[in-house]
Amino acid sequence: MIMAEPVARNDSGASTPPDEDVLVKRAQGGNLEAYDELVQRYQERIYATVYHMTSNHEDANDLTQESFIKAFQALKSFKGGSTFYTWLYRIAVNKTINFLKQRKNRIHLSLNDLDFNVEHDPDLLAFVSDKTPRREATLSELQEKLNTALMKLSEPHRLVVVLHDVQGLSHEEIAKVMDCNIGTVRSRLFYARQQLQAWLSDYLKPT
Amino acid sequence: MSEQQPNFESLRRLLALKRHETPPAGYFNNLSRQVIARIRAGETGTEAELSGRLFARMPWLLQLLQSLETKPVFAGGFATAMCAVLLFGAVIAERPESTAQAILQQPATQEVAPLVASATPAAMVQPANPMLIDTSTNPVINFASAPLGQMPVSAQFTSFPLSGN
Repeated sequence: MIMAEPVARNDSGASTPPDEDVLVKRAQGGNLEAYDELVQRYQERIYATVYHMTSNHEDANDLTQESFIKAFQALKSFKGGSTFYTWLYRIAVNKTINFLKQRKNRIHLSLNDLDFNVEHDPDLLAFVSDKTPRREATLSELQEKLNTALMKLSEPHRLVVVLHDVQGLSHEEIAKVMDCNIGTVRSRLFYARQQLQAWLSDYLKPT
Repeated sequence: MSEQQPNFESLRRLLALKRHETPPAGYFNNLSRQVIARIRAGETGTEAELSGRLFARMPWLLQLLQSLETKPVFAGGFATAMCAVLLFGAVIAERPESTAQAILQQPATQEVAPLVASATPAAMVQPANPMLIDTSTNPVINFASAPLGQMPVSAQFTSFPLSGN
């Protein structure tokens, strides 16, 4: 039940922030306040990953909550072989993929609103400027097309794109989360981008 | 096959649009609370902490609460509406007697009277002693009101028609 090592180390050997280790140990002992702190620390990233995989806020809400609950129930089995974050991510990703397999034929988008900052993002505004082949495209239309294209990808390919291009995880981190090697991550990423580029060619500026 | 291929740059910038998709305002204020409530409910096996499940099953309720929390105008309007409902209830509650009197003053017999009047008068006559009513369940001779040996004799005319055969 108690981690053998006084300080948990991740796969690369670097020590994790001590306060996280303390929180994890306290949570393993059943302290819900400590676990509440951990939930607050990672809720946004876990939610974002699940949401980008499902493109549905209600599903993302359910899956995020269930992932945290399952993680708490399985917390005693966490031995510190990886970071708590990677371990938590793996639970959320597996839960999401299982969910997506079950609801395969009834996908409906329930997209979140774009935040205010999107109106000031020069890169994104370029997509709806005069240079864009589809001049009439609005940001919300672009959002829907992008999500529809993402949902056409298989779950492993979508997950790689979401974790890398949206969430900003490295290939190594993705490999740990998906429990595969880095070469697999790279090949999936390449294939997924090719597919997306073909589907979204009307909205992409020629390079 | 490298991810740094320039022809994916445009796609990567487009994918960055996803980072601007955010959940409803205030969503993360309640998420951890709901998770902990659901864990507690699961541990104790009671329904003491229902908020997590309630919000999970009724997301509109959560959105309503979040709207109240994040939009002061909406919260003010909601509070005004609640005050109006309370005032209306108080006004109604102050006049229960007048309402009751109004109901009592309505002659209830007015509606029944025409029905009674339309019935046959003879059929409506009630005898003083209900035991004297000749029915199939009452005896022809009433032993209850007469002492022993002085039982009243009641004769009834009978006729037995003889058949022509």
